[in-house]
Amino acid sequence: MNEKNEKILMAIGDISDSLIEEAECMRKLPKRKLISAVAAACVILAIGGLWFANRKQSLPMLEVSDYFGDMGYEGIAVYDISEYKNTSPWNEDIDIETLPVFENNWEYDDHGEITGDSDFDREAWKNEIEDRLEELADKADISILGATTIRVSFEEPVFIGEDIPYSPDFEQIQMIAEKLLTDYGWLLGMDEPVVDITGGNHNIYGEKHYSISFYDGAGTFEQQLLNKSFNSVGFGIWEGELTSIVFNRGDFTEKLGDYPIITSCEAEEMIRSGRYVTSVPFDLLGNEEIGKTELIYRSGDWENCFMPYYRFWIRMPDDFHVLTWPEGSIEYGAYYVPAVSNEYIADTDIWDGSFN
Amino acid sequence: MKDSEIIDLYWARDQRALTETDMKYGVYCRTIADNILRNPENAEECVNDTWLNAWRSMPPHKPGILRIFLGRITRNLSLNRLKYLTAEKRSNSQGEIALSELSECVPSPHNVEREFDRRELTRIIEDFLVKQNSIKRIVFVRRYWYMDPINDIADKMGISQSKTASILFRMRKDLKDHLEKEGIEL
Repeated sequence: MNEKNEKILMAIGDISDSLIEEAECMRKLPKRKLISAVAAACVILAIGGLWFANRKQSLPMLEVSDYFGDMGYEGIAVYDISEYKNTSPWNEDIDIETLPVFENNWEYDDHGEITGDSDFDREAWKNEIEDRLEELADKADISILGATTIRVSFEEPVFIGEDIPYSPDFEQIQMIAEKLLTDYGWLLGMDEPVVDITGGNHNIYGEKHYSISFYDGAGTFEQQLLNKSFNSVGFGIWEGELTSIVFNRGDFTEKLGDYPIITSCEAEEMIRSGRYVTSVPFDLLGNEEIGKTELIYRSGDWENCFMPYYRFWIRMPDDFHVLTWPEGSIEYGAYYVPAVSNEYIADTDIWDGSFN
Repeated sequence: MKDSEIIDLYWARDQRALTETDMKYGVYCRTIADNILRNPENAEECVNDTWLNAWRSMPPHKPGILRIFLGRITRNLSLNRLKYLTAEKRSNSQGEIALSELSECVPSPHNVEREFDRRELTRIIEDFLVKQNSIKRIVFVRRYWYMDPINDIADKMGISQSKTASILFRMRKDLKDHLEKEGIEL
């Protein structure tokens, strides 16, 4: 071996995991594009572009939203990314061809009030919850938050159990969740409730917090993902007492269609090439470490439509200091790529790359 | 089995770690070794040595991405073996061919100012790679990290072999310029 060539070869051997991982994503993406283009051209020329063209035309183009609410940026601090918990029916081994996208007919007026012309019957939804609560309804204030969320606040907090600390650890929170399921499973309205413990990251004081909710794990993967993202029931716990229950329900009254979905590998390639939206005030260079990848629906009332996204938790550089996190912790920021195939994403100034 | 569970087995000194690793990442590591050595027996020995090295390094090591951690070990062991095998005679392995291609990246002596250590050299190569578009970057890493043959890269990327070779040729030239600009002496 030539010594100088060898030095370069060995130095290449030490490049970051993210660059090596990215190179695993080569499978099929450009090739598929090529095949699609050739196939589409052949079909269109030969038989008038029946199926492929019609399918594309029948699905409306989607706009990516770069608004994430007014709560600052989405970042978490952990000592190890495994501390961060978020139960999901999705994992990278699941093959997904299409997922549904829904129109969001809700919006906020100038006074911050929710308006819209959706067919979703909010009063009927509230009545359903009142019926489900039975006698608990008499002790609670029931209100509609935003478009389709019902909040049940107890006038007198309901005792759950003794010795529950202010900031329970993961094992303690799992036990609390199991107890809630035993005591209140009857009001969830679910066939196969899944305990969904989210959090585990640290706040600026170094405290760890988790939230407990449940979603229905019955049915297909698609149903489970929609349930996780939209149809959950969350329990508000404060020092051993149940203070509130929040019932979420998705507004699926106007389905735009079932859209082809890209793989997480393909989404990662988009992240690396700067095509993403985020609330984090940091532009990625493309070689950052990805701590965790999730497939989620963004379900905020302000979304243009309800569509799936890949959410990448990306390690922020050591000199990124917007907030002061506990010493030694690592900050990860949330970066989003639409999971819908690119051909259905409208080229706006947010999404053509110029925004980032 | 999940990676974290396999790592736990290593940490518990449970020999099932080796079986599980071979089941999950045997093909991945054998592909890397075979790309470099083009000799199944030598490749197999390097993969077995990879498991042995993994056993020795966990604990104390806890790899972020187990697959890449193992791939790095396999790549290093295979290159070392290649070095040994080619000390006296040339081979036509992808490792040897890739190595000869990289001679085009070696900066000219009169353009250099200081000697860089390996970590610094890696940093500069990474800096070069992140400035490339993703297709070029992937082609480069497939060729010079995974040591994939050019026809395999072309096939998997859906581009022609000549296009792949052309991307690599330009990148080697650009990398040489980049290294010279950084004042590298090898």
